[in-house]
Amino acid sequence: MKRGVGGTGLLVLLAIVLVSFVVFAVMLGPGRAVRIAVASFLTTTVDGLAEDLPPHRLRVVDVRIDPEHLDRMNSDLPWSGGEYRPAELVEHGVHYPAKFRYRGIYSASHYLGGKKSFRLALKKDNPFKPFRRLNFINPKSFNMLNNHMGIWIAGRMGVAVPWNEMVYVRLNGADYGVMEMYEQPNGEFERDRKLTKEEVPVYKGEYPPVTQRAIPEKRTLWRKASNWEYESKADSTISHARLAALVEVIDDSTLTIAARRDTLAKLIDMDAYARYLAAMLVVNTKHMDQFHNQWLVMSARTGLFYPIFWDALLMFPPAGEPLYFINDALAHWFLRIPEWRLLRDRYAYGALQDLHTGGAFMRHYDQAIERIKPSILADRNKFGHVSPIPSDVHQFSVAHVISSFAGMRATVNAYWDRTIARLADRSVKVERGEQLHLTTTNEAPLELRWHSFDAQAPQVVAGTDTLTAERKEGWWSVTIHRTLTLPEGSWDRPFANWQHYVVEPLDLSVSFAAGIPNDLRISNAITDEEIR
Amino acid sequence: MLVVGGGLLGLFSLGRAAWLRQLPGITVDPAEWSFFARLFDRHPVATTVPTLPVLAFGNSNEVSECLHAQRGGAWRSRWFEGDGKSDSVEVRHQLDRMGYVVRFHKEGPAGTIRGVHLIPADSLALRERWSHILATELGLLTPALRLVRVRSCDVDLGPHLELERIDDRFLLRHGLRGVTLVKMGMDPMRPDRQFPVIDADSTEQVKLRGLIVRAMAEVAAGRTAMLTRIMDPDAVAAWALMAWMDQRDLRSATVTFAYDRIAGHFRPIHQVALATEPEAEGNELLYNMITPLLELPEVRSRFMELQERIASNWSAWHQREAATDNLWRSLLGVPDRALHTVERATDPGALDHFKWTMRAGPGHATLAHGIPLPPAEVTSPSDTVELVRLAERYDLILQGDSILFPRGKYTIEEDLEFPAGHTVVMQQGARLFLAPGRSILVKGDLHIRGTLRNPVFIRPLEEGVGFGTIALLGNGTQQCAISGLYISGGTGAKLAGMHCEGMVTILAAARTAITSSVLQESTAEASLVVDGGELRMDEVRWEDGARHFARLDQVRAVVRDPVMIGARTNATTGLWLRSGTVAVLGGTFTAMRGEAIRAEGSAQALVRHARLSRNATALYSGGQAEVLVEGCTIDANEVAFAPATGSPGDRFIRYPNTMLENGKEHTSASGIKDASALDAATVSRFGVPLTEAPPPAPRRRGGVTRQAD
Repeated sequence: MKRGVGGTGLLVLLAIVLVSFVVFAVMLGPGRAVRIAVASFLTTTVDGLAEDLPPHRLRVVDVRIDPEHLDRMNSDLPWSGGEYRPAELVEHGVHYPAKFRYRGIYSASHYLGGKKSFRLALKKDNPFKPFRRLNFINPKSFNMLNNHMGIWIAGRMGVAVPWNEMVYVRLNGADYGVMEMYEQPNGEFERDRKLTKEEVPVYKGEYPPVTQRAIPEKRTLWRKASNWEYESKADSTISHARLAALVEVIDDSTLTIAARRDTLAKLIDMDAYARYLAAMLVVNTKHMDQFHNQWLVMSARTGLFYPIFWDALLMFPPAGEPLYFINDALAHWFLRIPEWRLLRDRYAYGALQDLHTGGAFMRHYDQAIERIKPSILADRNKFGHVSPIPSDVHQFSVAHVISSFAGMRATVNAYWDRTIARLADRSVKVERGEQLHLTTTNEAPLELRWHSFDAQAPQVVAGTDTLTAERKEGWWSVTIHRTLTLPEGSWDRPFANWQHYVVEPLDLSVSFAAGIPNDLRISNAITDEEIR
Repeated sequence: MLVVGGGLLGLFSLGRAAWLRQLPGITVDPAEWSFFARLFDRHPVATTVPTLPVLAFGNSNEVSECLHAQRGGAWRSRWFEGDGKSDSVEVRHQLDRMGYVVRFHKEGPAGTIRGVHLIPADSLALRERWSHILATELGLLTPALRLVRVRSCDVDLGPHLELERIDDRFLLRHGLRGVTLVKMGMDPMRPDRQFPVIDADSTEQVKLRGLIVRAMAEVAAGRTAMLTRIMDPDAVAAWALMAWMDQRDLRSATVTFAYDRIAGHFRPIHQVALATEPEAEGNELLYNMITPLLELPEVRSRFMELQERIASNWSAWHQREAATDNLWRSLLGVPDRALHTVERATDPGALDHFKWTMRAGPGHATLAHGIPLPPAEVTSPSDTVELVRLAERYDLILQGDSILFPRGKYTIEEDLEFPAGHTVVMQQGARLFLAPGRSILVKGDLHIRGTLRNPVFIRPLEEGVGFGTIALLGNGTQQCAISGLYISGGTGAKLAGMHCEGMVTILAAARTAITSSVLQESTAEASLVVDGGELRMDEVRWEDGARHFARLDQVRAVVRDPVMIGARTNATTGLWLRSGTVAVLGGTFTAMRGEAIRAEGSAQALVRHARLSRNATALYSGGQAEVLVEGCTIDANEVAFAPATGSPGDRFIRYPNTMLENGKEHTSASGIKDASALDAATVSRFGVPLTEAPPPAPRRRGGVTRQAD
C-alpha cells in the first residue's frame, strides 16, 4: 500500500515533535519538559477556542510608551527596572502624563516572559486620584486572584492594606492582559485614606535596593533601624527614634515578658499587629519574612507603628502548617506574650467564622472569578511559572486558570477546616477533686469562669503560678494560657528564619482558695465555647 | 372608534392631568394612566427651537493646546466667553468621566454659580434632566442642570450638560449657612473611600470624622439610634428613591452630604448619576449613612409617601415639562428613552433592593484606631445638663428654653456655648468680663436688651488682653436683637469650625436688629461682622482703633445714622460691604485712614444723606459692586470717589451731593456715572422709600427727653 504525501508529512512532523521533546526532556528533565510542553500545547489549542468574547468587567488601563523606550528597557532586564521613562495613561480619551518603569528583580515572573510587571508614577490629578504610584503586577498564580484575595481577607480583618484591584492592561494599543493593580505605599498612605492632611512616617522593609548589576545580599530587617527605608516626606525625628527603640527591644533578649510587653505596647499598635498575625494565619502565608514584604506606618493618631499587609499570596504556607508561625523577629516576641497571642487567635477564629463558616470568602471568590472571566478569555499573554524552576516563566492557558481556581477552593476549604478545628478544639480532660485537674494535647488556651460574692479579685493557683481573677460580664475569670516552645533543635533567637512555636501538652492542677466553685465554667478561650 | 378616540384625545389634551386623574367613580392604575397619557395627550408644545447658550473656551497662557486637546488633569487658565461673561476661568478634564470642570472667579455675585461640570450630552441627557426634576420635586438639594453648547478655539464640541459643582456657592444659593460639605463612598473595596472627605478645617474634620465613625460603629453593632439622630430622615428617603429611579449602583456612588452645624444633621445631596466608574467588585456595601435607615418604619413610610407623590403628579409634571423635553430631544437628536418610569417609581418592592450586606472598609479597625470618638448619646439631655451647669455656675436664670443674664457682673473664664433651640437674653445692667481668648457662642436666638442708660457691657477681663468673640451661629432661622450694647476688646475666634472674625459676629441669622449700641476698640478683623439674613441698624456707633468697623456679607440691610469715628492711628475701614444690598441713610463717617465705605464683590449700596469727612478715601467701589450716592456731604477727604479700574461697568452712580475741599474728587473718571435724581424704583431695590417720613417727635416726661430704651 502506497502512503500519501500528506501522511508522510504528518509522520515527519510527529517525529520532529517527538525528537524535540526527547531533547528537551534530556536537557530539562522529563517533569519540567512535560509541564512546559503541556502549557505550550494548551495555550495554542485551548485558548484559541474562545470566540465572541464578552466585554471586560475589569477596569481597562490603557498605557502608552514610546516603543524605543520599551525596547531599551527590555534589552537590559532586570537591571533596567529602576529607570523611569516618560509614558501616558489614556482614560476617557484624555492623555495623562506618567512615568513608567519595570519592577521586580527577585521573582522572574516580574521580568521574564511577555507580561512584565511595571509601575506608573502619575501626577496629582489623575484618574486614580488620590493614588499616584501604582504597580501593575503580573499575577503570581495561575488563578491570578490569589494575592488579590489574600489582600481582601486581610483588609476585611481590619489590617491596613494597599488598594488592590484586578485590571486589564493595554500597552501601546495592544492587549497586555490581566494584571493586579497595587498601590505603592508611601508617606501619603493615611492622607489618601482621608485621615490626615499631611504625610506620615512610613518605612519599607524590603530587600536592599539594587544599585549595581548584581543582586545585593539580603538583610535582616529588625537587626538595624537603618535596614528600613524611609518612604515619606514627613519629619522623621520622632519616628526614627521610635523605630530605633523598637529594634532595641527586639534585639534585647534579657527583658522579661512583662517588660517587653509594656515597652512594645508603647511603640507598636498591638491590636493592629494581632490582626496582622491573625491574617497571616488565615491567609496561610509565609511571604512576609525577616527580609522583605514589610511596611511600617506611624499612625498620626496614636504615634504607634502599624503594619501593612503586603504581597499576601493566599495559601503560600510555611512548612508543617504551624499554628504559631514566626515570620519575623517581632513575631518571635509578640507570640510569646500570652494575652496578645490569645487576641491574635480570637481575631483569626472570628475571621474564619465569617469567611469560611459564614461563606463570605467563597461568595466573594465566585464574584471575583465571574468578574475576571471575560478578561482571562481575552488575555493571550498569560505568563507564569509553569514549573518549580524559577526561570520557567512561560505562557499558560485558560485550562491552567480553571484548574487553579478549583485547586484554590479545595486548598482553602481544607486548610480552614483544619485550622478552625485546631482553634476550636475542646478535647480537654477535666477531673474535679480538691483541685481541678486539666489535661489536653490540643493547642487552645482555656478560660475558667465562676460567680462569687468576693469583692476582692480572687486568686487561683494554676500549677506553680498564682493567677488573679478578672471581672468579666459579672463573672470572675482566669485564662489558662498554653506554654509554647520551639521544636527540638531549633535556634531560639528572634532573627532565626521561618521558625514556629509548638504548643506543649497541658497537665495542670488548679486550686481555688475556697474549693472548686459549683458553677465553674470551663471554656475554650478562643471560641468561648464551653468544655463539657 | 373615531368618536371614542377623538373623545380620549380631547380629554387628555384639553384636561389637566391633576384633575383628570380623579375622574369620579373611575380608578385608574398609574401604569395604565401613563400609557393613555402617552397615547392621547397632545397638549401643544413649543415648536420653535431656540439655540443653546454657548460656552466658548479660548487659548491658555499656560499650555499651547486648546481645551479639547488639553493633556492631563491639571487646572489650566483659559479665556472664557459665555452667559454675558468674558473672563479667564480655570478648567480641567473630569477625572472620572468624559468632560470638563470649570471654576469661575471667586468674586461672582452671590446668586451665581462658582463652578460647573460640562459633560458631553448623549442619549442619557434626558434621563439626567428628569433625575434633576424629580429630585427637586422630592425636596432634595440638587445642583442646577442645563443644556449648553461648548466651543473650544472655534471647534464646536457639541451639546453638553452643564451641571453645577457642589461647593460653598451652591450652599449659599440654596440659602444654607453654617453648613459643611461631607463626601463619602460606599465601595468596600476602596480603602480611600471609607472615611469621609470633609470640607472644613482640621478641627472640624476631626470632630465630624469622629461623629461619623462612631455612628458607623453603632450601625455595625446593629444600632441605628445615633444615625437616626444625626440624619435628616426625609432627605434620606428621597435620596434613596432617586437612587432607585436612577438605577444607581450604590457601590460606586459617592454621596455628598450637607452637615448643618447648628442642627447637627446630615442631609444627602442628590447628584445626577453621570460618573462612569468601572463595575465594583463584590455585592457588599460599606457601612454608610443611608441604607441602614431604610429599615426604619418612619423612613420606609416616608419613602412610600414619596412614591405616591410621584404617582399622583407624574402626568402633571410630564405635561409641564413636555415643551422642554421636546426641545432637548430635537437639540440632541436622540430618541425618547423613558428610563424614569412611573412603574419603577411606584414599585412596591423598591425598598427591598437596599438590603445590602454591609461591612467596614479595608483595614478599618487599624485605621480608625485613635480617632477621637464622641459618645453615642448626643442628645438634648446633655445640652440641658450643660445649661443647668452653666446656670448654676454663673447665676443665670433658666426660663423654659431661655437663658437669662440678669443685671450683675459675670466673670467668664471658659468658652460658653448655648445650643440651638435656646434663647439667650442679656438684660440691662448685665456686665460680662471675658478672660483672654474666651468667647460666647449662641446657636439659638440672641437678645441683648440694654439701654443707653443701663447698657449691657462686654469687656475683657484683663486690661489689654482681648477676649474672643460674641457670636451667633445660625442656620437661617435665628433672630438676633441687640440694643444698648457697649463692647470693646474682642479679637475674633474660631468656634464650631467657623471663623468668627468679628468682635461681634452674627452668621446666618434670619433677622438681626442692632440699635443704640457702641462698639469700641477691637483687634478682630472687624468690630462687627454680619453674614446673611436681614439687618437693620439704627444709631450704632463705632470708635477707636479697629481694622474694620463693620463688615457685611450676603445681607439685605438698612443702616440708619451710623457714627464711625476712626482713631487716625491705623488704616481703619468704616463700613465694608462684600456682598448683598445695603442702604446707608444718614450718619457720619469721620477720620478713617482707610476707606469710609468700601463696597466690593457683588455688593449693591445706596448711600444717602451721610457725611463723609476727613477720611483717606470716602468711598471705594471694586469688583462688581455698584454704589449709588445721593445727598451726601463729602468733605475734606484725601479722595472722595475711588472706583476700581480694570473691568467694565459703573462703580458709582453719583446723584447731587455736596463736595467740599476734598484732595481729589476721584482717582479715575471711568466707572463713575453722574445722574440727576434718584427715583422711587431705584430706591425701592434697597427696601427703603424715596422720601422718609419724619421721625416722631420725642415724648417728654417731666421735662426730660427719654432715651431710647
